[in-house]
Amino acid sequence: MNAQEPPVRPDAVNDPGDAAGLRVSGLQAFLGNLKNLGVIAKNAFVRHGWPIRSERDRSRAVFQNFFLHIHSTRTHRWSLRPSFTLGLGVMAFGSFLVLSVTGIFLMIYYQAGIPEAYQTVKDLSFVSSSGKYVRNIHRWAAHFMVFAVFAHMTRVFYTSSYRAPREFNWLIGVGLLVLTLGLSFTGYLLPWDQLAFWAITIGSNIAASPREITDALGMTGVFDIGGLQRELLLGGSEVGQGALTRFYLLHVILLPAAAFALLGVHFWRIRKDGGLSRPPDAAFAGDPGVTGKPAFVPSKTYGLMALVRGKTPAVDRGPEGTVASLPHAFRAELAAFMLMLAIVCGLSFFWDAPLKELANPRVPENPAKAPWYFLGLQELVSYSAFAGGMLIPGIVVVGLALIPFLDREQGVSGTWLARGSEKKIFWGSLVFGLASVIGVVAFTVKFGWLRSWYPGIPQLVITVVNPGTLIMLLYTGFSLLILQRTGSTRKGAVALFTCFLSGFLVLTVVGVYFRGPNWNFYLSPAQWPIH
Amino acid sequence: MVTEQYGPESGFYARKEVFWRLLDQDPLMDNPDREDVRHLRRQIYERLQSPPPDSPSVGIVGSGPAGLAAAHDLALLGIKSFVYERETLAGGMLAVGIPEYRLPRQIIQAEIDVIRSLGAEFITGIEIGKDITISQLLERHAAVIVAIGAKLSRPLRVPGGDAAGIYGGIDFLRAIALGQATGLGKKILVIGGGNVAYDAARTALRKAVPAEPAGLVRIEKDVTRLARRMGERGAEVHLACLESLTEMPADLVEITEGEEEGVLRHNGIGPAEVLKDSAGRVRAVRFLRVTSLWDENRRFSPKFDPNDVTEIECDTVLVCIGQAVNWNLFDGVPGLSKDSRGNIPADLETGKTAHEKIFIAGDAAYGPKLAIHAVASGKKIARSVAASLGVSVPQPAGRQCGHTVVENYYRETGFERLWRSPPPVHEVSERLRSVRSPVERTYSLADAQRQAHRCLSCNVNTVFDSSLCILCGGCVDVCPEDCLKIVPLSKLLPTEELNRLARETGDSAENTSAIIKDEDRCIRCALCAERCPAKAITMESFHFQEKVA
Repeated sequence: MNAQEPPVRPDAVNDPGDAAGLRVSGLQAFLGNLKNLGVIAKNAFVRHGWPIRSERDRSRAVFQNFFLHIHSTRTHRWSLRPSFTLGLGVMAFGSFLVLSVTGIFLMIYYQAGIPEAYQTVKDLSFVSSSGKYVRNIHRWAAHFMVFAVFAHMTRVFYTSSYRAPREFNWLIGVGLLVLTLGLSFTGYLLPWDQLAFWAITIGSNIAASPREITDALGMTGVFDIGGLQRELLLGGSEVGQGALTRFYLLHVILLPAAAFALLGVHFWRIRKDGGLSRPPDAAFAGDPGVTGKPAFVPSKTYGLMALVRGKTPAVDRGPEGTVASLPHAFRAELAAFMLMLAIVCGLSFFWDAPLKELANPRVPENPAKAPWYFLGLQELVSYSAFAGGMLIPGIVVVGLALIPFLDREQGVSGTWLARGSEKKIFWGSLVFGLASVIGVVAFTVKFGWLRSWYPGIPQLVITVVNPGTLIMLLYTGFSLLILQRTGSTRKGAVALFTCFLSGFLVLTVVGVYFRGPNWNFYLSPAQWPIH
Repeated sequence: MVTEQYGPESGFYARKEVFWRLLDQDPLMDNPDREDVRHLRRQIYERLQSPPPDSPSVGIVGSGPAGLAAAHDLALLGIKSFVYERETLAGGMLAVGIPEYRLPRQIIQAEIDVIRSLGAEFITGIEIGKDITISQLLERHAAVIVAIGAKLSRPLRVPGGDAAGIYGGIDFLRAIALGQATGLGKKILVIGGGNVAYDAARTALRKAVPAEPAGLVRIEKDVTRLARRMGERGAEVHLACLESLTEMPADLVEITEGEEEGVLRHNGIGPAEVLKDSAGRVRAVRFLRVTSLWDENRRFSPKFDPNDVTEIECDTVLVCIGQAVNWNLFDGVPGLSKDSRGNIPADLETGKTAHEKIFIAGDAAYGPKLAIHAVASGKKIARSVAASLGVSVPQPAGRQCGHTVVENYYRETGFERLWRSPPPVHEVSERLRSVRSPVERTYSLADAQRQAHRCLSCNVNTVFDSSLCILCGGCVDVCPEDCLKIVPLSKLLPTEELNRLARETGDSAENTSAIIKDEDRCIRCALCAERCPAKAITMESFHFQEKVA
């Protein structure tokens, strides 16, 4: 108690002469200010005072600091429990930051020309000090970000955190998912090696895939939307300097700027929609894992301050159970960020980012594989470029975006599969989803598909009827059945989401591990023919 | 003489400094018109001259805080009063109840001197019913204010409660204050858990007979306590009460200071029997463990465990389990009758009784409370008496209150972190030297200034403008004390007032939100006002003016 300092008036150091009750000359005031320059500058810099020792200090620090104020000053304890969020949003954003910083480092050397692109990346890997490590981090952080964004979306879905009033933020999130994939795709071309060249060639062929339809309808000559798409993407008819320039522009300016803007909106909406998703207080009352004093004692009496028309997400999200964001929320965020950083740096230390030979349009890579998260798509593309590359992904993205608008059920959000029956549906859908996708793929590998049996079949039939559309049909039918049986849109959504999740997983695994040259099925790369 | 001290000026008390400033420091000093001041002064002086001897006077029975306050205010209203005091010194409970280490006698005397200088007469050593009857008082005075306090100790109603060596706590304190013999032994047991019990226990510690020679000291575990108790006075003072430590009605400071001085506290036991020795003097008191204090209706109704017996050896018992008013003095006064509980009923605001000339003030009107309550009562009753005598009494004539916006309201950094420092106290050995040795010291100037920073500025309120609020929840979020909350109106218990307000907002209860705040927690840091994006929250200072005419 003796160690208490007397309170400081905010203007205490502004007029040193005042304290002594003296009138000071201008020069004296100037010298006094000069002497106290450190204190004055410190007070101007940290208005809330330092060190931070009371709840009021904590509130002021978070509220008055530009970098902290995007947080709420107080955070609910349950929002901080790792099991509710797994820290995936923070990790996704953290990897985006890491990508931005390492990207800027890479840009110092990188030149987006042919063949300078390949040369500079090669120099980065083998000549520049730590260049390889920075490039490795960029590569691994990109992988990690895609993973974290997918996982974050999965978490938000299964904790039904997309529910009103968060529908719009879910939409922003879907937009960010598309941007993340776009960033990854555009970055893939930049090294200009064989891997890059042929992956983008596949991509551009997907862009041109609507020709499957227009060819069948005989209107390609009149309205070649596929060709237009490819030309827009590549800045020419082939993957060349035009494509490299456009991809570079997209990768370092347009897409990151869009991502930053959407991230801003995404974070802002979290606050406006009532804070981080968490279960309501009553759901976990008496949970022995929850410690800390309740913010309110039952005997409290309130005075009425005002009656206001209307209702917002902030109403009835009282301060009960909250803790100061400083340090609790920041510590949790920092922990998630550090975990992400540790994983990325660790991976980068042991596994280098690949760099193959200089791109050679005359020697196709076989197999030319996209990054892992596109390989499920590539598997579908192998059945039909248009259905697998545009139709199904398009339907999936639109379907994801519509989830909160088609499932309007209200209830507990913030807990994993809140109702017991949802868990049952999840497991059932997982089994069905895995079984059907494995069945269809195995059938196709074993017996082939329509073209193997009827070589003259029109492409349009293949585009409409292929393993990809069949899987989608099975999933949709199953979910409609669940929807019908349970009478719950949420449960239908759980079924559909789980089915697509299992489909994505299986197709990705098949694309990564079981596809070899000419996209043939091999149980292991050891069986690949020597060429 | 009167103007030197106080002077009523349309009901307000103008301090003498005001007059001096007017006379000596005013720029009017050099103005020939300043002669007017002399006439102003004369007017006030003549108005406050003692009333003529034949004007009606008021008799005040008792010179405790209620009687003193009544005499003071009556004098300011120009009414002569005569204060009759049973004891040889004036002051009532202030002088013969509150121990001297808490309230130095010269402070009481200074106050009494002021009141006497205003014209009140004090007649001490006169007992109503013995030296003078109430009827004589009623003949002598136009009105009688009865401010006799609650000076009867409630007796201990247990078997053996009549043993020698059992005294009322109030009686004991009175005897000490008057310097009379107390019959205090070496092992003193105080029964009761209130402030009076602590006054008695701590006074007993200071007064107890000296110890047996140092060589005979018993071996005890708590060496420091032993040193305190045996080394200083040599007496054992026990305090036993029904309540647990947290339920005790005594102030925390009394309990802690008593503890420091060596009062041996026994909580949660109630007296069942007093054991006497052959001479009929108290030898020990047998207690039973309390199992519950309150019945299901939260009424005081202690229950005991007959098998859990504690015996405390003692030779003196001080009973501090409550006080009562001694109304026997007023038996047979025509028009006055006691109610079922043995009290004479009186109106708390006016002091009026069934007898038109008798008024009751202080503890006698409402039972034992603090001295400050008695002062308030005395002042109220003085006005009532004056009004009944046809004297014009300044009356409240309207109240004005409102809020003023405090621009740039700011609380200094760190004020919320300051702890309460208890006022400094003297060393235990210093305190125990005598009943007169003061316990508390004064804050140093620096400490006082630091403590003053703990002020929560509760005159400044957060004022919310419904029409501007956008219900963003920012204030709830930023509040470091968690005292704000926004709830749907439907969650509040509907009252008529609330319904009226709700109708004014013009929306259904389901679609109306209420901002509520726990004023007890608010530290007026103004972060909510700073945060509010719509400027719907302002820090406004409450002001209040009561006009007297």
